Amino acid sequence: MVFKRAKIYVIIFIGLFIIYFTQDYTLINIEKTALIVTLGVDKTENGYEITSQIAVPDGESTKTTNKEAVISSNGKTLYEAVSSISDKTGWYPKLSFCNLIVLGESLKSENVMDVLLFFIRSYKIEDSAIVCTVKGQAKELLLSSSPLDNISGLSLSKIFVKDYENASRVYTASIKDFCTNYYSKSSFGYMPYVKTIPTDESGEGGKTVSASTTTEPETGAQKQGGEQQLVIYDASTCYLYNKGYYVTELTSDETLCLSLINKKVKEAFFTITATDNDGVLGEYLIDILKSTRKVDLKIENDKPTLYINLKVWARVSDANSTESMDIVSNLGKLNDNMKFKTETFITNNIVNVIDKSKKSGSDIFEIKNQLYKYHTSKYKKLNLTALEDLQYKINVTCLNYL
Amino acid sequence: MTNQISQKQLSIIIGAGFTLTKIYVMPAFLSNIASESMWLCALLSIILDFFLLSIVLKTINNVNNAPLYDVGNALYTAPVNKCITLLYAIFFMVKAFIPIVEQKNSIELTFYETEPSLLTFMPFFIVAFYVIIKGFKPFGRSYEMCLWVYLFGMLSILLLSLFAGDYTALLPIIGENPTRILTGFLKSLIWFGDPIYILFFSGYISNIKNKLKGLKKSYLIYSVTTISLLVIFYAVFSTIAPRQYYATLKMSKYSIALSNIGRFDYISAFMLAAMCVFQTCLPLLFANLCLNKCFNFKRPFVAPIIVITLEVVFTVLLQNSFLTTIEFFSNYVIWFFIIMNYILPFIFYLTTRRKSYGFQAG
Amino acid sequence: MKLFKSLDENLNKIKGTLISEDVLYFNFKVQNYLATAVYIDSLTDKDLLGKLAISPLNSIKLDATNKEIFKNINLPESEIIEDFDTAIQNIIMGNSVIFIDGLDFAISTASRKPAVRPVGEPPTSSVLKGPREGFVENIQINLSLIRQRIKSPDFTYEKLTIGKYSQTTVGIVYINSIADNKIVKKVKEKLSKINVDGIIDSSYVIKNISERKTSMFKEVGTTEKPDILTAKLLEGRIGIIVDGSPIVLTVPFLFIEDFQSAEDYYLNTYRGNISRILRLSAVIFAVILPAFFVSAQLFHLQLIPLNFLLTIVGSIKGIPLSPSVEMFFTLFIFEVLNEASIRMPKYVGIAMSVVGALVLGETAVNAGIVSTPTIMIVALSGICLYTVPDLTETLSVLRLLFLIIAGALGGYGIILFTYALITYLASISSFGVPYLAPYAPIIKHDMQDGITMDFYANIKTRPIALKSKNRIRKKFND
Repeated sequence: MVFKRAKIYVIIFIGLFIIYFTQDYTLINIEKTALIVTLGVDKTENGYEITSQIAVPDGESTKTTNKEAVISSNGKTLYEAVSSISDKTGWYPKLSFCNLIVLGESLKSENVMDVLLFFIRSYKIEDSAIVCTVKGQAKELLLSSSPLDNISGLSLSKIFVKDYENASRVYTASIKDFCTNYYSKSSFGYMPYVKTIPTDESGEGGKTVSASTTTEPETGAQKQGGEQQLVIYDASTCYLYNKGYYVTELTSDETLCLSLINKKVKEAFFTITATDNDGVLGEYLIDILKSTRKVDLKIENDKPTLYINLKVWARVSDANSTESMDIVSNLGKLNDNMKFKTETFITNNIVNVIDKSKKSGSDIFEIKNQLYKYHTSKYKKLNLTALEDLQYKINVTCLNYL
Repeated sequence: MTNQISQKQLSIIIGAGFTLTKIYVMPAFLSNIASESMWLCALLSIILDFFLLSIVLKTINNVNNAPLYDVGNALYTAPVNKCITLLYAIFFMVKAFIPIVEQKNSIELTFYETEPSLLTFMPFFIVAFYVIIKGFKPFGRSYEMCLWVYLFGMLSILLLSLFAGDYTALLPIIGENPTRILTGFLKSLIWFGDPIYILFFSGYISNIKNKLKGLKKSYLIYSVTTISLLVIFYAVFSTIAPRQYYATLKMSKYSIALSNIGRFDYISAFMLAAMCVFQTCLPLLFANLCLNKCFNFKRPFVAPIIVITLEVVFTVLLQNSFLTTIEFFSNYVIWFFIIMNYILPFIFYLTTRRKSYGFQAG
Repeated sequence: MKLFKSLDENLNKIKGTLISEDVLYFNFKVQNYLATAVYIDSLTDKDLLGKLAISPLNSIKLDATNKEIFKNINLPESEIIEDFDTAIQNIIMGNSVIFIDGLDFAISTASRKPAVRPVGEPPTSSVLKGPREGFVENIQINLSLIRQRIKSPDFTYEKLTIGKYSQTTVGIVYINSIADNKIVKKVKEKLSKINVDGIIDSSYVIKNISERKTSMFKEVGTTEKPDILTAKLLEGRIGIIVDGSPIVLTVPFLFIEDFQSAEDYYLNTYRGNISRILRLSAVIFAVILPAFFVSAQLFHLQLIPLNFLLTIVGSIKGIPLSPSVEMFFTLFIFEVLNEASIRMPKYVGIAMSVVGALVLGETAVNAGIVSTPTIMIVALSGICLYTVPDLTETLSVLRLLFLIIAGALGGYGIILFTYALITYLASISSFGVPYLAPYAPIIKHDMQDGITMDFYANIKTRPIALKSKNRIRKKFND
């Protein structure tokens, strides 16, 4: 009996041993794997152009710097375009490391859900990947070079890091967020709109980088040879969507105020023009360090009414003139005028956002969702005209953070 | 009797194991039917199962923890008892099929970078065969040994995803169409009815204390865990939840704490996947028990070979049409499940309640 | 067969049986009778024989019927022998047997003096703080080391002789008022059933009394230190001492015991706890890490953080072997180095480690045969393996099995194998005690001295799993 059992063990072990050393079933060598870190999607006449930014190791294990290879491929569908990466390069695309999807401006007139559904359907890409739209072509952005990281996609992802999001104007959305909102009663969407800024414009003196850091010159679209200008990215503005279609854009200040309402902003800056205690007009950089919010939807006179109560704790961080002694001595204390201007600044921007939302039909405040969740019985009745009939009462209170 | 399981081990099987078969396809399936009220469907099933558990415990006490087959022989005639036992053997094999294929698909789709061949999953059947051969005692002890693994995996998934969800997504609680809840409840019964396993442990339970009432506490833990998991699942995925098959194990990935340290949530997902192997073996153990009782095989390998072979055949044949199979099960086979899970145990309870047979304790 | 009266006849018979040349015959006279002392050269203390056995014989009045004459011999354990088998047995054991012409009995004198190693610190279990004595190959000395620690009438020693040719003395030690009688009985039964040519070392006893002969997990505990044995006896375990072996066996054995070190009790409890958790983690690391690394590379790339993955991809560029073969090859080299360094003389061993670790490792990476992460993983696994020396053999086999399964089937293979392993371990017991106790089955009380340990003051009763007769370990006046 023991002998028989031992024989079975030996047979199993030999079987495993053979598989171990041959591994000829469905495995792809790690070296032939394209570790896609960023994926760009542009609309073309015949379908889609996918630009994959692939992380390529430096070759010397002791160095931590990595190179990139940017490969473009076309297809009538996204699946076809992604699949053709391996046809072109012999590299098998692995999307599990892709945490950023960049959509080109060419998709502005399209239903972006046609693109995002591919990622939601696929088990191989994480739906926690951030999605954003860029000015111009996604491909161009991925081919740009940034001083922040050798791989432009990774440097762009840095501004979408969740911790940073709480302290900035970036209004990020993951694939999951976008799709969840799309399929909700409000069927809205948002994503950051990214613009590239040459570093000389941002005051860093127009640094350039040699494109020789990129590899695979034969495959796909590559960074152009020669000297290339370094760029940084601005994602402070935001695109709004209705039923998957782009409808309007929020300015940087509007995006910030939207963040104040919808996200837990820990630190935010904006500039106001106000008078100091001596009545001298000046520009002040207000630093919001803490905020609490209460957003309620009530039905008044059969019309949805949005109550926004926002309380912010702020201090003056900087001024365009020599600060008066009392501001310096009071550690950036806001005077009444500054508080009023701050409140007005926030209120105006929120009003702008609501107006844009009403006009465009992008239900960024989730009025329909809230109607369904909290006023279910009235949902059917008010649903269709909820945005048009929306009334709002905004109360912003600014307090000193001392 | 050496092949016994302790009351403590039963508590762990209920408290930890019962949840495990409900984390793969069921949350998405229920979301598809009842959207934000999906957890209510599960709650109804859990309440129904609580009654089943109470009946099962009373039955075990009525028959004085005697082996079920012996009780059946005494209560009904031997041929009738054999037929019922054979039906249960088939039932357990069918019941095992769902978690087996769920596990297979989950492993293939979410854990493997390149979709592996069926060969990768096949060793499960070797392990299941081994577990069946070993019997209840090592099974119960393995459960105890891995309780820590379960606790770590489940708690990390629950805690890490706790703050990643929007709980207002669960509103309105009843929703527009309450009949969806009943539909979901009825169709999801293929995943429930687990207390039936406890009934089949009758005769194999050692040191019964306080008439097994402690098991109800474990059931409460299971109920809370399952409902929490479903609530968090819907809060995390909300409107796209119907698409999220096999996503429960990975829902902690949205946690901010994880974004900077890589995909460590996979470790807890792997841990729970390991625990699912245990739970999947449970119906197979009973299928083996029923077959052995029914045909009284002289060689210990015959019944396990039959059980495993049939499961392999099922898996190979139906692996590519799993969702269709689930649909078929929830629409048609559900009545077989209801009879075997609820009606027959209730009849059994009634017959054991009326007469005192003075059964010998197992 | 009874002894003859004639000395010549007796000696001829002895010579016919003991044909070895190291059996010596010392002829002398007791009064006017011829006498011969028969002994084995290497085992007998001739000085003792002469001074304490032969000299006193000259002063007695010889009487063929007086069997009390052996009392004049000043050596304890001396006795009268009346048959050849016993005489031969005594000679083989190292005693000298004195035959006197005209007497139909002989006198066995306990003049044996085998070569004995002095008591020293065992190399396998050295401690920073705590007793440094270790068992030696002599059963008497080993017993004395235990006796020095347990001065109780309840301490029981039972002797058996096992081995057709080796005739090895095997002793069972336990504390009568603590140890479970059923387990003692079972041990005795199992030992008495051993029917082999010889017991060369206590490991032979392990192989004979283990229930599962093919198992890679030991069912019997081993220790080289009397303090550890004492502690185990006080918990209710039973010790098996084998003459000729410095390794004393303890039963029942629980899997958890390998993770417990004597030092845990001697040092601060906090440190003891950390050490135990470290050992457990190290063992898991040692076994799983190479497997996990290979499966992550082949099947689950997403488990590896991107930057580390890029480092790996960078370092494996140009390496001709696949990740699995590379890991197998590196482990193979590691095992070869390990095997060689154990067998080699110490001074060569140092050179070996330099050649092995530095030269081979560095050049293998430079030559592009293996990658740096693989070497690191194997080295880490190797170091972790030795945190629990008693488990090293089992763990190295397990590591190989896990590696092959991981390379063939990926992470799910690791899960399945782990589960099968746990089921196997949960199904076995050592002398009726569940092997995985106190975790499977869960015995809450015994967990106070499991993977973690409670403060000494709180451990008031003996482990439940060992079924000891007297559970009270100490009574504290809190």
